[in-house]
Amino acid sequence: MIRWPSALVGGAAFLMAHLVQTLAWRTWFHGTFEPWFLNSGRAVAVTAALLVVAGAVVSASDRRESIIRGANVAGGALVAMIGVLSVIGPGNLFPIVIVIGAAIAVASAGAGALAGWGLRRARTG
Amino acid sequence: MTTILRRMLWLASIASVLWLTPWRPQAAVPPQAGGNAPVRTAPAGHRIGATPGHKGATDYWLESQTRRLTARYDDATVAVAERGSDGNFETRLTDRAGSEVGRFTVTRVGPDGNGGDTVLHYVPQTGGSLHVYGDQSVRPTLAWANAQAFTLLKDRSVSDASNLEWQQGMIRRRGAARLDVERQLSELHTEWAGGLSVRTVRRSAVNLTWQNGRVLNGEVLVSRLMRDGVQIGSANWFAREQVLIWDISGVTSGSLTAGQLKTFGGFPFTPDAEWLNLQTIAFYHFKMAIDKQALVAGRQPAVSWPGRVLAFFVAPVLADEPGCDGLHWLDGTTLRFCCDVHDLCYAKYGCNSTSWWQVWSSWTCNSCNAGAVWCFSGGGTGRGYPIYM
Repeated sequence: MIRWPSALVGGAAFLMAHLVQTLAWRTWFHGTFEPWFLNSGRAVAVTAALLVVAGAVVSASDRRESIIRGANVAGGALVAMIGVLSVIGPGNLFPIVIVIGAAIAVASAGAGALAGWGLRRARTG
Repeated sequence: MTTILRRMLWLASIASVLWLTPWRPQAAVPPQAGGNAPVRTAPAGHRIGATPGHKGATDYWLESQTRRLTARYDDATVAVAERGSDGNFETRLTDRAGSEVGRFTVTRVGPDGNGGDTVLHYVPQTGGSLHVYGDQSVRPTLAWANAQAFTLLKDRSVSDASNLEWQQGMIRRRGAARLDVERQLSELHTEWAGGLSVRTVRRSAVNLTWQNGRVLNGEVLVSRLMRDGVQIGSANWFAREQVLIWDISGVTSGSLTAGQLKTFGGFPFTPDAEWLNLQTIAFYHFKMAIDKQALVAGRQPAVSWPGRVLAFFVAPVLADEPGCDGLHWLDGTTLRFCCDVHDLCYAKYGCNSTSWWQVWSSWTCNSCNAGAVWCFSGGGTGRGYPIYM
């Protein structure tokens, strides 16, 4: 069930989002605390958007595997998320942070996978 | 179900005083002169708070809501300080027979509350008045006004300013022996905004058995919280044992000892009657404010009352952040409640982030975590798992 390319895409999407947030944390994301996607509403939106795109891209290539690939995108993003969190330092609520982050990743990648599936279906008829 | 998380919350309120407080006048920061002063950058990711043991803005705000403060002293002198609608206040001193023996007024003449911007006027019944400026280092409060009026009454012959001096925030006759006004206070009655009032009396405890067979003795300040004339709660401060116990029906009950605050070096100030009165009010008021805030969370600023408390109290010691660590996106929501209560619970029991997975290390830390999870699952409404704190 593991689709490494999809998982890597998910992880890369999350890391890309984190990189963007780090670079523009004070300016565009209005960050007060350390750069972390759950510390800013805009960062949540950007991360979710990238995961939607990632989910759509990987699932559009194979309609029958859309959900599995979407789940792998979410899984990859989650691993990257935990990695980043451990680097920046887990706070007093880190398990709850991970659960909420995972929920966002699953919802975003799932929505992307659904979109990719629909896109593929519309193309192939 | 709600009681335990509420208890935690109230500890946050406690800190509103731990943070705020010693009741001694503190030096005020002089205002910066206008001009082209550089704009200073506040570091991100770090808590910025007041100085431990010094009064903070919340403390002064709480005090500013006091309408009348009545102090009864051991010699039957009564001092009644009342705050006017213009921010000025006046203390009326009466003797054992109820006859007025003096008046002390504090008049603001400057833009803020600094002592240097006030004029003090003392008129004893015996004649000869005192009319002087306040001191820059003393920010007048009703409690200070009462204590100052009582001190002037005891010092007598204070009409000649050249014979006076400032001693530890009080105008005293030059060379006068130290006078501990707090020790002579037998009762303090704070009448606050919204029909709230607290009366604290000094009592003595003898072999009072408390938790785990612990025996409490010695001086105890006993407070009764009233709303519209009906008692709704109480709080006791056992000075020798350094134990605070409170119970406000349907709102919060709990205790806090110096031992539980060892991370912070115990109580960072010496609790007294005025502190206990405001603290007891804060227990009730903050909960009401939080409940109200929860209804309109979307329109509220991100920093909640307990959050402001914790921002000072917890963060510097535990490297904690005010609000929801790693979830600051949610700081402006009702979930902030869960985060602040969890932070306070962690502070009280010395937990840290590793307490989540070292479940064998501390049941109390596990309880804090379970409470936070439950609170989050309830949307921050305060309906938490019953964790004793």
